[in-house]
Amino acid sequence: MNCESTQRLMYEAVDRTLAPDERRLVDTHLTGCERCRAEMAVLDALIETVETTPPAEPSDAFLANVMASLPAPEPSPRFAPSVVFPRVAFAATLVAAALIWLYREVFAELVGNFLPVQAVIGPVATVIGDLQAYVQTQVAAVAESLPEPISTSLDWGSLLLVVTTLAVGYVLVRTAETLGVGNPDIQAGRRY
Amino acid sequence: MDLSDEELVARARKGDRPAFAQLVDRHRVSVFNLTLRIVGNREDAEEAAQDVFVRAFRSLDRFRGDARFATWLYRIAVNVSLSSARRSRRDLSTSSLSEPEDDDDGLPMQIPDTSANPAERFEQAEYREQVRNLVSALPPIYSAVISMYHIQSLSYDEISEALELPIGTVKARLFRARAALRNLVSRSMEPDSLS
Repeated sequence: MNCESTQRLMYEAVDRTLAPDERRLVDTHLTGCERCRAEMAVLDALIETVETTPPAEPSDAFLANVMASLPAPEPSPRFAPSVVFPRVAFAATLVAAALIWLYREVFAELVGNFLPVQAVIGPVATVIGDLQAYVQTQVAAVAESLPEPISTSLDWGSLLLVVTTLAVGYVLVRTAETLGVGNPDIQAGRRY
Repeated sequence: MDLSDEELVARARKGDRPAFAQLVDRHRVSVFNLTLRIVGNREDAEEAAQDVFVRAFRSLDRFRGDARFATWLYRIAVNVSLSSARRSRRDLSTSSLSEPEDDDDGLPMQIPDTSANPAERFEQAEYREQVRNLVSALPPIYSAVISMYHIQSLSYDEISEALELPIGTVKARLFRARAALRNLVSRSMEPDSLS
């Protein structure tokens, strides 16, 4: 093996990845060639110097600078900080609708006169009059045990008010879910 | 009890900044030394190393754990350092993962006269400093592979992942990097270069 071939293998020999038979060829050449032996020594010393040079230290402010450069944390939700908010809102809507229905006579005094409900419902009420009478009887039977001023008559205006309340509640809940109000996952940009 | 990198990453993903601070503290020296070898000066290297951690924080959701966290960091560090080197000290054509065009087989053009050992001609500390500077003076890809293999003690597999290069290519570049470093050392030891 000549000097050029040996030098080529030296660069692999320094990280000890040379195959055993190639290593033997290199060693044999080095035994008889002072120049290559010296070059191998220099190369070994150079690599050892690279590997044993102490690492440089970054400045003392490095960690603080990194942490100060991180993007600001997401603001925490200001309203209803709970993932159960939509469910709570939906339950509240149901309770509100039930109260409106039970106390519909009181509500009718407050808002009923301003709703053109009877004009809209009248024709339909004629068609389903028998059904109304039946439901009224059943409701009256159930309501006998309830304290005043719970209503016992079937009032289409109040019924429409309850339905409207449920619809508004549903829209609010869906909007809250879409916007992620109270849901930290959605606030952080993650979806369900 | 020290948490593993992966556990700290999981916490940092949930917004635990002290956990991320631990990761920074744990890897700041190795990342800084890698950027220093590639960029070549402390000021730019420190800025690049800080940028590495900020980018890592923003990309934590993309760290899948297939590789070690350190290897993933080194990949970011190499990319950031090459961009920084391109802006500062290096010629545009050499600041990439490609090799220098005028580099033939990477071996010294001739067998240098090694009758005097460089280590004997310099004080050890001075010699170390010179070698450190010469590693930084290599083309960026050579600085990167020498730093990762000989200083960070990464395996060929890890360097391959960090540089996104085949293992065979990593080995070839490491071979040429050593030869290029040896050439630089020879030139720097010539009497003219010492004046």
